[in-house]
Amino acid sequence: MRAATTTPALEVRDMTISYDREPVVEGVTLTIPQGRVVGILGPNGAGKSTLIKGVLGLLETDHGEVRVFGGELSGSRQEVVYVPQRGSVDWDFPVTVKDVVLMGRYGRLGLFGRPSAEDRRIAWEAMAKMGIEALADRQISEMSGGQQQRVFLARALAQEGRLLFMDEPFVGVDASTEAAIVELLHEMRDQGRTVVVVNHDLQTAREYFDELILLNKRLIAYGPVKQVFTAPLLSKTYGGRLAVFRDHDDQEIIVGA
Amino acid sequence: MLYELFIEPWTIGDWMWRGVLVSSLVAISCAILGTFLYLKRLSLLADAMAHVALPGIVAAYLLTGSQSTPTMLLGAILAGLVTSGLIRFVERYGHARTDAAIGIVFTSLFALGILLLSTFARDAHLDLNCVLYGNVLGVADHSLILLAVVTVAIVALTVLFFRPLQLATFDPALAAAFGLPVGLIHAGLMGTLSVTTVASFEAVGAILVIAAIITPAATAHLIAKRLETMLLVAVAHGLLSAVLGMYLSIWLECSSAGAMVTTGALLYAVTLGATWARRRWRRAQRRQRLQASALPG
Repeated sequence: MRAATTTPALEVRDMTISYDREPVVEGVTLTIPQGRVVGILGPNGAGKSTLIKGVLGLLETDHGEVRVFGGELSGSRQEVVYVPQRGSVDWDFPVTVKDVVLMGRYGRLGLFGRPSAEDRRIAWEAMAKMGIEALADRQISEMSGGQQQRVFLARALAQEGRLLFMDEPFVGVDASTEAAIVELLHEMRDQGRTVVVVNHDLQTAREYFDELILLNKRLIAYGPVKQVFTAPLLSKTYGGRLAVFRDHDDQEIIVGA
Repeated sequence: MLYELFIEPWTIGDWMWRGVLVSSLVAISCAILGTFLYLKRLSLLADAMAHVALPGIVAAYLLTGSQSTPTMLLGAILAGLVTSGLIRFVERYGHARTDAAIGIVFTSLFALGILLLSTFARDAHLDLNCVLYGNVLGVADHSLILLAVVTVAIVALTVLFFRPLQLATFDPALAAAFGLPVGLIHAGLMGTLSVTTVASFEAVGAILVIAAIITPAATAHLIAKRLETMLLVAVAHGLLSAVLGMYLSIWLECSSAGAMVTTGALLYAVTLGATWARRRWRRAQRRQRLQASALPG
């Protein structure tokens, strides 16, 4: 059963997550509609990755409630896709590109299932979309940073979810991969999917995202880029570690730490 | 000559058959578990499991007063499970890195075992020599059966749950996000590791079982580009070490466990040398091609 498009993709209520009783994310409440590309911005240690791991139930939370397409997360596991940071896996692992992308289908297979021809076709299409079919039979240890990210994104595509969380997909990738990722984000949005992206590059935030979450332990602001990407809110998020300049066209140039 | 060297040992009684069977079972189960441990960067756990068998055996003797093999096996297996739990605990609440947590837990328990052995359990008459070095030919029938059951179970579980195991090893976060029982898979790995270590060390000893777990996986990782291949190469390495090691121990009249581990280490060294040579040769070829294409005509 597909949820109506007016149902929010994600609702988070009063989420608090602590390491060693020290809160890293505090009292975050958000409602993200369907069909948006949302960036999470904030300084290092602001809890950006922690927030998405908490939302996905990968970390224990102190309290907080998560609803996905109006229901429990456990009821929408197929719809929710997580793309972890590249560094979170061992790239020397003996596995080929094709096999990693096929892992995107494992969520539907359960403990005993075997991938069908249909699963393989979907994995193949995802590789084609990310331009890595030629690398299908290579071991992942041979991939460059950009190629690794394309492998991760192809795997995410193969999951065919409607709500995606990506943790720092732009870190350490080449310019053409970055462009390919942005194109993919916008295409997904146009299909009505929702993508939440942890990012820390302020320069590109305005072009890449529809909406922004400004986070520094607490939620500083959430809304359309135009309303949120302002000097007062950004300096509130980044504290003193931010400089705002104005160029000759009176455009704000913001340099973050 | 060839007959005497290779065939004759099989014809004198059943000990060659039995020795090769026991060491092959050890090789298969240890190589498979070792592959997963290696990829999870937990090879040191093999060391831990082998050592805590001692306090497990001593504790079982003190609690039951029995020195029968099943009691000892049970004690050693329970000690292994307690150890993996304690390691998790120290990691989590002591904020220790995994290698440090493993090191703290197993040395402490091992020391406790020695302490108990030299105070309360002085009359236990444990054959330490056998615990440490094992004896492939001295394996009792019930141990052989346990080893066979464990090996069949490990092979069957690996084949049946290959995909979930692969995903949980490569990317535990994604496996958890898919709702796979990552914690249960880890606990299952620890449990089978504990049973395998204990079942194996009667044959090859507590120290050398560590080699049977780590060396095949390390060798296979040098050449395999898929997990399926890595598992097969590791098992092949283990079996080859077992059979060649048996022959070596007959020819040199030395400890069979020692011969098997030495053979395994040599196979690792040869593989390492071969991969190094192959890489150099490939690089040289690429350079030649580049030079050839740079020269006009």
